[in-house]
Amino acid sequence: MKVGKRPMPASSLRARYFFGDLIATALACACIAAATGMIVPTGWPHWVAMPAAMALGMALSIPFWLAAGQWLGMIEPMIQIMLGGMVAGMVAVHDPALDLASLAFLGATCGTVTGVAVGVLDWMLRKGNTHE
Amino acid sequence: MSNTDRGKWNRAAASYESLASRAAEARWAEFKSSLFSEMGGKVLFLAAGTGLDFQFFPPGRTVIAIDVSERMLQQATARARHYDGAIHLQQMDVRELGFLDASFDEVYTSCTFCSVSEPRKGLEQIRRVLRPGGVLRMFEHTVSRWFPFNALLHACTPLSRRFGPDMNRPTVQSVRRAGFEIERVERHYLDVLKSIRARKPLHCA
Repeated sequence: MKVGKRPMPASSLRARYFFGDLIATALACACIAAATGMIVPTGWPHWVAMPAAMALGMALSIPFWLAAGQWLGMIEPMIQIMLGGMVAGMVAVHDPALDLASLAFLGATCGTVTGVAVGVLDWMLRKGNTHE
Repeated sequence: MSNTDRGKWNRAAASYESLASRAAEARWAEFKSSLFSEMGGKVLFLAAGTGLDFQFFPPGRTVIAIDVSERMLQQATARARHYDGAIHLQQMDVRELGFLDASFDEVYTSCTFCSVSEPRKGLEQIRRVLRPGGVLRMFEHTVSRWFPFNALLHACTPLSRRFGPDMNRPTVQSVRRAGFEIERVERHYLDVLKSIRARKPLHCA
């Protein structure tokens, strides 16, 4: 007898997406911070260096964007990654003397913190879901 | 029928399944099941796409489902056949509905009004084909009311609209402006997605 696959409970599904988003955001932000760290010491003016760092970081993090799109859903984690990337970029600019490994660790930390903050905010907003 | 919209969605049809059918559908299943759970009466479903949403329809209903893209509808045909009820597929533009006035009890949309290029026109057509007191139920991407998520959605839209939806549509306001009474709005994921329930007034001009 063929037995169907049991559907995953909603709470498990939410937990899976929360941690999936978190990992994707941390990895993508590590790339963005590392890219910022590579570009800022070149001495380019900030208005050139910052967009270039964001573009390079985003390019390096394409695998994580794709992973987020395919396995985690399209819109939600990508917004989180963009937000985390901005925070990671700003932190990386703050101390241009850091080596790449430290920058990647810093970026991953920023991504994780951003991911947790977004997750908590989402949970709070869900609790206060408005009905008109 | 708009050739621009039809062309865009015909081109998107080839990759639509691989992009949309996995995680996004699983993530949104809870909200979509709830959206369609009260389906009843004479039902119109707009922008059926490849029929991904048919799995969330309660069994035994009769639904007319339309889409602007013939390639999308080709893929939806198999899913419509597997549905435990009747789904009649038709190629039609949301903005030019070929149905009589007041001919439906309920109209459903799922990720539709982020893509319709003249949403006001589409919503006016829905209002026309709904009977007075009829219900419009929607699950849509919309702009978030929260900063910085709304800023990110505005930033994403110039790119996303090239191959698919706009991310920054004020759909609740558009529905209200089209003459519907908003009964309920449920906000999902930082207000980026919304379930909307609206009603055509019983006595309308």
